[in-house]
Amino acid sequence: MNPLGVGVNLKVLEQIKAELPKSWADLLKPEFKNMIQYPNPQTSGTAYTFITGLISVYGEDGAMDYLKKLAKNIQSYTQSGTGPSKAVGIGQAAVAIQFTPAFFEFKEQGYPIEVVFPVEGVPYESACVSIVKGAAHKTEANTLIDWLLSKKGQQVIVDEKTYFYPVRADVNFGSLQPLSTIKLISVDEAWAAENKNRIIERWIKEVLPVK
Amino acid sequence: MEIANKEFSNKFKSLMKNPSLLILLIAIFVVLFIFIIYPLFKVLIISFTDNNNNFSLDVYKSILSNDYMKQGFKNSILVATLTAVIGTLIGYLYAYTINRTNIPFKKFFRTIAIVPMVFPPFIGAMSIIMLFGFNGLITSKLFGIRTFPVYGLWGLMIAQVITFFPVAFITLDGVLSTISPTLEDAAFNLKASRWQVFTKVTLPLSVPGIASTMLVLFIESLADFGNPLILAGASFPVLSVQAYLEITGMFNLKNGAALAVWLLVPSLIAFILQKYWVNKKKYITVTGKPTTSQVKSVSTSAKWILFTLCMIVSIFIVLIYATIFWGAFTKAWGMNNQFTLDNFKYVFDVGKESIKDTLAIALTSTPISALLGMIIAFLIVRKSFPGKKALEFISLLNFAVPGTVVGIGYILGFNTKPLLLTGTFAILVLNFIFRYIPVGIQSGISLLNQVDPAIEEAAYTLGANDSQVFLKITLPLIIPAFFSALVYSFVRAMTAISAAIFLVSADWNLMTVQILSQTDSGRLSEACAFSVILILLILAFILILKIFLKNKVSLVDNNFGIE
Amino acid sequence: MSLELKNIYKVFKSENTETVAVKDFSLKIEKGQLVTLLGPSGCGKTTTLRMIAGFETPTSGKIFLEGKDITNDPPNKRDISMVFQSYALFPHMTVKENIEFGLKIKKLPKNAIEEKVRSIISLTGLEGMENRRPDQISGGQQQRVALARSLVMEPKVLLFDEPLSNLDAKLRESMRSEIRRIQKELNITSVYVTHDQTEAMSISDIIIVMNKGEIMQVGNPFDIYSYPQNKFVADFIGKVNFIEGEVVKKNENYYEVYNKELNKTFVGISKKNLQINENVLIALRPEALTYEKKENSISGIIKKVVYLGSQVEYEFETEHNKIINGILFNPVENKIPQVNEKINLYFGLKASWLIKSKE
Repeated sequence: MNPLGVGVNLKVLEQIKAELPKSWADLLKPEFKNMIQYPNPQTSGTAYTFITGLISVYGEDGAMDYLKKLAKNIQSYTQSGTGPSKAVGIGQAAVAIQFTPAFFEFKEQGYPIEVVFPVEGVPYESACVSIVKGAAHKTEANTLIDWLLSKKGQQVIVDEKTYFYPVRADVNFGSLQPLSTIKLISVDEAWAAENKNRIIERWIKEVLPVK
Repeated sequence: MEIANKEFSNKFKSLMKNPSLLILLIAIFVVLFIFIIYPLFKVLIISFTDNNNNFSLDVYKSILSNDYMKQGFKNSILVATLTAVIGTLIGYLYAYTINRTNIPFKKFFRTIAIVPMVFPPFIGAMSIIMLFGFNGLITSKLFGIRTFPVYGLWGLMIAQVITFFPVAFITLDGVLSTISPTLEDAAFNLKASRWQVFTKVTLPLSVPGIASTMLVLFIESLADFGNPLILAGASFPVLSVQAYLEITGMFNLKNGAALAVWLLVPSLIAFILQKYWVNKKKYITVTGKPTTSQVKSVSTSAKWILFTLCMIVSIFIVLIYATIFWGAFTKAWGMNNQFTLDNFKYVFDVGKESIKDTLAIALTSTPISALLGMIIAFLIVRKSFPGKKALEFISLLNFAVPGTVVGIGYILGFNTKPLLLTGTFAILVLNFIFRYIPVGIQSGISLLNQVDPAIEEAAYTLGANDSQVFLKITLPLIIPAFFSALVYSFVRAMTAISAAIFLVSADWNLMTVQILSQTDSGRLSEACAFSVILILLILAFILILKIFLKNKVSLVDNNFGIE
Repeated sequence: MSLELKNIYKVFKSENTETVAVKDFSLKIEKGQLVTLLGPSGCGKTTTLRMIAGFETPTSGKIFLEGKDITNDPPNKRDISMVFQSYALFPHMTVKENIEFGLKIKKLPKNAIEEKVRSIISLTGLEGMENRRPDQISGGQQQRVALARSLVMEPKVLLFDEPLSNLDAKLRESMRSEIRRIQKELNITSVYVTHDQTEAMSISDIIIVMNKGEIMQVGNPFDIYSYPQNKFVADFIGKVNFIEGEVVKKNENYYEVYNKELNKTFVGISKKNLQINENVLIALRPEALTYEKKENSISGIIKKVVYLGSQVEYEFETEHNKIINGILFNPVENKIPQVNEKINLYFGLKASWLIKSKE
């Protein structure tokens, strides 16, 4: 499972003389002008998750409002869901919004990256695994799934530094920030799926044009 | 009419008397149909049907009325046009300076000009951010500018111009070297000034080559996937990326296919223009060995200005690629400059499989592609048979089709029996063979046209059959074309991404896709290291090839772009 | 019959036009003959040659080689060799490798190849050149290599496509006698294409004059020159004067022809049956005009004299402004005409060759 988070490049933060943001509201500060990146909801599921998360916090109109204000600080809406991490890693942007594994990897590599989970709350995604209907190797597939969900399998996910959160509580979380410190927001999946096109259209019409 | 039929039936009769040729032709037609036409067809069909497989224009209605997509189309065209013009300009400047002046370091300039061909495109794009972005080495550290627009039109254009400049240079270099200097000598003799000679002799004769180059660059830019993926944000959509994201991000195969077809249209138009209009206006002023002029075409001051400009371009290119080397040997690209070899260790640990896979696929497809290219060129130039024009068009078609379209076509076309190839070695090899065959064919045709056909006719009268003529006479004479076909195929196969990204699987992965996923997951330095390995492999290949073919180089003198 | 062409037609189609390159061409060549196709560019001679070689397919008609129909045979299956205008030597092979190429294709045993190659090299005077490459030998030597390469195959028919046009004049002369000498020595049936009449006249057994795809005349050099069957041939070969006339009387061995403008009756001969009142042309060669009294006379004023050493070429104008060309040989022992001189010249019956006007 993967919470959405904010990756911050500490070096760039110094250069723009800003403080470490702690909330979504902090990101609206003028110091961050042109220094934030998040993915484009038209092409990235990550971005849509971000928006639906904000809708849970601020309501639909409130979310759009927030994003319009945020738009002034946006450097680029990246095409792929992992674009923002690339930019923040090399110091092109100060702040990146996306799912967190890439941020943690950058940090591990020695990049001056810090991961922040805004206090208002963050949405998350659960990775899923499925067996294709009519699969030729159904037994083996079942074995794999059983292993993935077992304590052993979930421990491997942590130990191999995938930076994904395990879905079992009886696993050693290693260096991952404890879930108790993160405010996770639930999103109504069905509602999100039904309204996707409409909301993205809204984003395109109201948020994208703002400079 | 009656005569035409008689001619046709006589041609057919002669063909019948040559059964091996007939079989070869049929085989080639079939193979080209299956691996070039059929996938395209599948893409078209899926975009023109609805979910119940009935004919429907719904998909097109929806994307053509979508403002964002329309913007994408406009942007694609805009960038392509700008890249075409600027890339050609720089290419011409470079080619002219090398061909018509006696500046020093020509070999260096020649090598630099083709360097960008040997890199996976998106790493170059990353490099540009490293050099010109917020913390850019050039903009920020040198000039203190933090607001250079790397994203969007400017950054993308710079990246594309650098990426496709080699193509422009190679073509224009070829063009300029075949304009006989004696024409300029004659003009000088008639008391024309240097500027007049340039504007009234050299430039007009270059026009078909310039037009051709611009159209080629236009097509390449439209199809470019790697650079816009990094540098074109949401506010600057381009169709090549949009098509890919519709499929991989939104799982909308129909939309992706339709966008791909939309992208295909201007490509095809440019391709047809280039093939059937510009090519007809070619001026051939030299047959055989070009001579060098004794008279200086440019004044000394002009020469040094041109030299400086070329130097700037070269340094620019060197910088971009040096940055990547820098990333490969440091801990955190741009953020931590501590020297390390860990990145390479990671590459050999994790990336071993993909290196092996990539080499296997490239080394298999390359010789097949080059040889097939020579054979098709031979058939087109030297043989007459019904359907020749169709053969020429089909075999060159892939040149105009963006990789994204081909990739989608292949997964649509080959994921069911009898041709269940998705996820296999075969699909990647086949894709590469047919994708890059146009260059082999083009250079084969070009070189063959310079060989006196009487030489092959003489061999026929001496009793040689088609394969003997081809192997003992034609092939040795067109070795430079074969060589450049080999190099080009290999380089492209090693650096391919836009089609290949749809075709890789757990069993067969490519280095380029690995590099992209490394950048995605935050391992930038490892991605750089991968890129360095990639370049070294390519250079090694070229070197080995040069040594091997050295003694078989033909005596038909020729300038063939890639050294 | 070594080589026979029967009613060969060749039509080229391009975009929206059709060109008839060769029209109803028929020809029979005996063994050992050297037949030349002679004509201006575009007359179809090269196309015909290439059809014999197999590089072009006739639109209709047939070709027979020693009785066998080879019309649709590909070039490498015909027992025919060709010497090309550009020599077409294989640039990446030595002289020796060029010459033995065809023999190797035939898979002859090694010593047989060595033997034949050695023999042909000495026949064509190429000793010492065996290991050189084509770009290391002169034009004349390249020509010999091209010849040697074709001869060594011992073909049934040897084709020549303007082989000497790339050589300078002196070399051309010596090479053409070389070619003729070798051809006769080996008794090889040959078809030779050229636009140079001197070349054609000097080496051919038979000349076929062509124009616009059609055969104008077939004959030996003497017949072609002295008895041209039509205006084109008379004009194409050498220099000629045409005097118009109408047949007024037919005698046993000669005709009487009346020219209205000069108000003169000439006598002339023809191999055809001419009718009274038929319009004819008298083909008069310049060298036939003399001061010596003969059957026909013609007078005028000398307009131009060009002294060339061994001969003097002059122009005179008759009463009705007709220009006649003449040639006078050995001027030092003869009278050289002077400009503006009034002269009376004569030409004989045999030199007064009659051609039907319509042909």
